[in-house]
Amino acid sequence: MEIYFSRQRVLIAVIAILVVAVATLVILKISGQSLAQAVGFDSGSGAALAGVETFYSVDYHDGQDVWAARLCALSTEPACNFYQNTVAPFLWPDFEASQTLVTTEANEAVMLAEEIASTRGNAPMQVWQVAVNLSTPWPQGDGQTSFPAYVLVVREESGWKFERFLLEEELAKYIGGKQ
Amino acid sequence: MKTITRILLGLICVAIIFVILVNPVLKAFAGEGDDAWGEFLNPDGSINWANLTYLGEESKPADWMMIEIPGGIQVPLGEARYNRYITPSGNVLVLPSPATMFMTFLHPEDSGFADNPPEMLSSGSQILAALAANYIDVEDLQALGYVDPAEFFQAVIEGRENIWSVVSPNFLIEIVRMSFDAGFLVTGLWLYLSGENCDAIPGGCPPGFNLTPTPGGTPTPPPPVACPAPSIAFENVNASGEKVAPPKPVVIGQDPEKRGADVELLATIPPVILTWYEARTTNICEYAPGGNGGGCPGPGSEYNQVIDSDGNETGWSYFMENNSNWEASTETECIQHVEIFPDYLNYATLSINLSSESRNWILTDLAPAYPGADLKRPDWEFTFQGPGSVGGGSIVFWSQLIPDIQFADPGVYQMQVRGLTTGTLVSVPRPFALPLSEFTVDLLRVTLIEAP
Repeated sequence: MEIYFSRQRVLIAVIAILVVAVATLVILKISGQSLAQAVGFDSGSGAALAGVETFYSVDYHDGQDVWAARLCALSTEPACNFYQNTVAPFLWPDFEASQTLVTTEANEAVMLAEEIASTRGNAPMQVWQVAVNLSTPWPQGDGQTSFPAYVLVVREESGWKFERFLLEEELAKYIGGKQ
Repeated sequence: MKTITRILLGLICVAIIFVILVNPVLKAFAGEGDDAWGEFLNPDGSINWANLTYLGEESKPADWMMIEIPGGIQVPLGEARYNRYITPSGNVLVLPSPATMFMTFLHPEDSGFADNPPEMLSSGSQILAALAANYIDVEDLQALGYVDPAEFFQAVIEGRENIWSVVSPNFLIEIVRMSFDAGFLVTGLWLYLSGENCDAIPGGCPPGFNLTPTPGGTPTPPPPVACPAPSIAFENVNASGEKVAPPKPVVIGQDPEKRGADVELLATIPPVILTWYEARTTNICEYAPGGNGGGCPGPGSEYNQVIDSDGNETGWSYFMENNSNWEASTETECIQHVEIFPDYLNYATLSINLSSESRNWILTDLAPAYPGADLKRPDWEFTFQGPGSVGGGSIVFWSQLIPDIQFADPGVYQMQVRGLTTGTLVSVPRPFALPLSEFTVDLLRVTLIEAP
């Protein structure tokens, strides 16, 4: 069997492929942007691990706003406001002064408790224990690079989101206490 | 969620706390006629803001506002923030932000609160219980043997219990949000009586009031009250509303398209204007030509101006003490401060009612011609939430279009809007009720005319 292609048909096919490719790229870029603005994770562990990695990863070249925006993209709104307006302005002068470059790995997520946030329309909450490994210590920290973190995540309409780290005083409730 | 919506939610949240937990206490104190509190509390327990002079907001970083996150990293929960007022008799009223209040009671020693406690209407434990009211796990509380949350929080303040054993884990972020959103609406009042140590008052003594003698220094008498009392002024809320389309609406029973009528409502809320006066005193040591002065006692730093016999400014010297050629005096200048607070719309309810004449007409005149004619739905009501938006002159504008209202009864409709503003930091919410324009919904009547 012989198949004949006219030059015109080949040209049309090439143009069609190019148009589809460009459209796909544009759509991916747009959807990627919207994902970056409001990521909700399918699982609480995903939100906990991503929140921890984003929080502790610092590249002083990026600047305070980029760091806060990354964190806000996977945090609840009140948590985002807290990190953006209170925590970031406090931490970043030290990051810039010491030219901080820290990469972070978070793994071994273990769920410790599930609760309900009655003040947020009975949104489900989870407490996760996560193992944190930093490439280098933070300038404000105690010099450790490996430590456990206890993380609160909250489920919103778009999925699970990072809220905050639990304080040491809160841990008694979850470790060996009420679960 | 928009910022203003969050602000309103925060205001409502704190207002609920205030109404449920703080206001009854205020009422009790106002009723008892306690002098210090009574001068700015109304008999119904509300705060008479007009009797308070706003001194502004004080904020400062505070070690005791820090929390530790994993890795030994200290981060602040925010700055310690206070709004401050002065009462007519010179007491200082302090309203801490919710987060500041919370951290103060968790760290009474570090915050300095324990050393210089102010007068309070509620105890710290009651205030903590109020702040955390919606976040307490009652079962956990009972399991620990507590029935009254205030008892548990008293144990927290005394270090006998861990607050986090009964409080929901999202409380910490919520209280930060409350501080951002609600500002300083009342969750608790701290009153520092005139004569307290200035170091005890968050932000210190307000300038010009000289509330307390400096330890080891010369007592300074309080300045004479020469300035006008603070005042609050505002214009009335305005509203307009009219039927905007179609030009001649007809009852939907006669309109195959069921067009109905569109009504537009507009409200403008003028701002609340607070005028208060700062008494700024100037201590003067001046040459007394007649030799009948009382002298200018030291220290010289007390004097803002020293004026010699030629009317020129000079420096103070020891020879001016006990010297009848010199006289000390104090001048008080009143500096006027004007602050403008936008007052947002809380809600507005539009009532559209068929006039009584039209009702009678339907029931008496129309019924014989149209058997079965009756009132179908003569009254309509629509409620909308604010807040509106701030425009020029800090006036809040709010408008709402209500399309395709399905009027089934013909006649003249009268409109009225009533509602409530949110209130401001210095004023209570303002109710309003205003009549609006009338409009007519027509009935198409068929008249048989004999053909020529």
